[in-house]
Amino acid sequence: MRKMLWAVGAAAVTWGFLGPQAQAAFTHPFRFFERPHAEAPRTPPSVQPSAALGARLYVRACESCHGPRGNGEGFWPLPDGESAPALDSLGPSSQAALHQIIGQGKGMMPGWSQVMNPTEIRSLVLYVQSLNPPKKG
Amino acid sequence: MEGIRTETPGACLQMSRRELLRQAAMASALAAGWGMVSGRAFAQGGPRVRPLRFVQLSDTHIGYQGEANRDIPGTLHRALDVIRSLDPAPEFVVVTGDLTQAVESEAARLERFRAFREQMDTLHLPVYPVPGEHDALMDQGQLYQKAVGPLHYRFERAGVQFFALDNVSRGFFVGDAQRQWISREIARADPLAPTVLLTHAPLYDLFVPWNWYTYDAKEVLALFSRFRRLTVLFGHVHQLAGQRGPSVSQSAGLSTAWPLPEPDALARLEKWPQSASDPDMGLGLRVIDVASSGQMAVSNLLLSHEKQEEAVL
Ligand code: HEC
Repeated sequence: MRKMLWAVGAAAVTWGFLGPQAQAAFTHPFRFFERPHAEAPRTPPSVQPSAALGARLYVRACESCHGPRGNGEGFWPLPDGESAPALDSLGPSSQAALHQIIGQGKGMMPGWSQVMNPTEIRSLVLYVQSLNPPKKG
Repeated sequence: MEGIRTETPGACLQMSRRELLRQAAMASALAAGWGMVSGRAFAQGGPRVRPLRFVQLSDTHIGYQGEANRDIPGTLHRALDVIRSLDPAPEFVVVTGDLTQAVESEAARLERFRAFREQMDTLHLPVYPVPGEHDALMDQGQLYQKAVGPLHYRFERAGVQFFALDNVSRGFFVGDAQRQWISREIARADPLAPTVLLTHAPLYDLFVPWNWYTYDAKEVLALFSRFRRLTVLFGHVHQLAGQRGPSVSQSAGLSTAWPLPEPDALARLEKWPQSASDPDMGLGLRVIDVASSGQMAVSNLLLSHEKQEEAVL
């Protein structure tokens, strides 16, 4: 009898220690199967940066403001009614400068390092550069 | 849906616009009816909730001057009159972003925040706002924090947990830093209690070309994956819209400023001029009643209708 009481007591204390998150796991075990854990939209570090990856990321992250292939014809006007600049006719800009503005933002340009890893930002730099091939002659 | 994009006012067009809104409300009521049934099946357990009523206002755009709404403060004033006339009275008001219209001058922005607050103060109710991109994108929310308050925070009322989130001030995402804050807060929250996320932009891809999305929404919702009753109330899209998933319902509040068109591929987002015969077309607010079961009933109150449209989340 005493053993039983001990066991119940220990179980109650453990329950108390578990906290609401773990308790929910016990009381509703099937919650864990109801929905697959959402995948983080991150590129694994083993992937090499590439303009192709940049092009893919561009559609979801940049096209609204900068337009298809950076033509400056975005589908979303900025809050001040202006448009974001075209990205296909940039003057000479270094990789470092592009990396800085894409990663850290400026004015109404978002700082994407809050949601993208270095491989993704490098890929976007490569993609933006591919929209601005060096002029011949 | 053709009529809604046309800009010529005319009696029969007005009817079709009104009809459209009514149909949208009906559709959401139908979807919600299903939700009530499925909600009940899972509604046992969890802490008790005291019945609670609150109001969601959205996209008031104080300071806007132009053809889309020729009397912005007047429309908000009438919305506030509707809130004052509610019986039972709501306990507080949440405002899901774009309190003000963006403008370059900092002094003008401050004045708009002040005007917004002055109007809201006439309600004598607590107000819980989140920033919209008009309030916060141009300076990463710095002025908003001075004039309005924190960009993200958490509160609890009557057993319902609220997370007020910022998915606009640095771009349309929540971001690493705020997600870390959410993780810490979640450790102290109760996954069995009804939980409401207040955001400006939806936490799903409603329409990416118009920035009607949150880049890292999946990561944010994954943090809440053990929460049993999760509701996202958002703004930004100025129309009735939403999505019901297996464990999270998302739903947009009406704007008091102007309605926006439905998503249209490869078209630039434009607002249309305010109708002369039905200036309140598509404008409104919503009342949320949380029952002691945790079930949320939403009434969308259209300013142009005396009748209210009911839905359940
Ligand atoms: C919310 C709208 C918005 C989104 C989304 C956006 N940008 Fe921008 N971007 C801007 C604005 C506005 C500027 C101009 C900033 C300034 O100079 O004040 C800008 C500037 C830039 C510049 C510098 C252009 C120049 O003339 O020097 C680059 C490069 C750029 N963005 C790349 C990107 C990339 C890559 C993405 C997607 C990962 C992106 N942007 C997403 C609004 C946006």
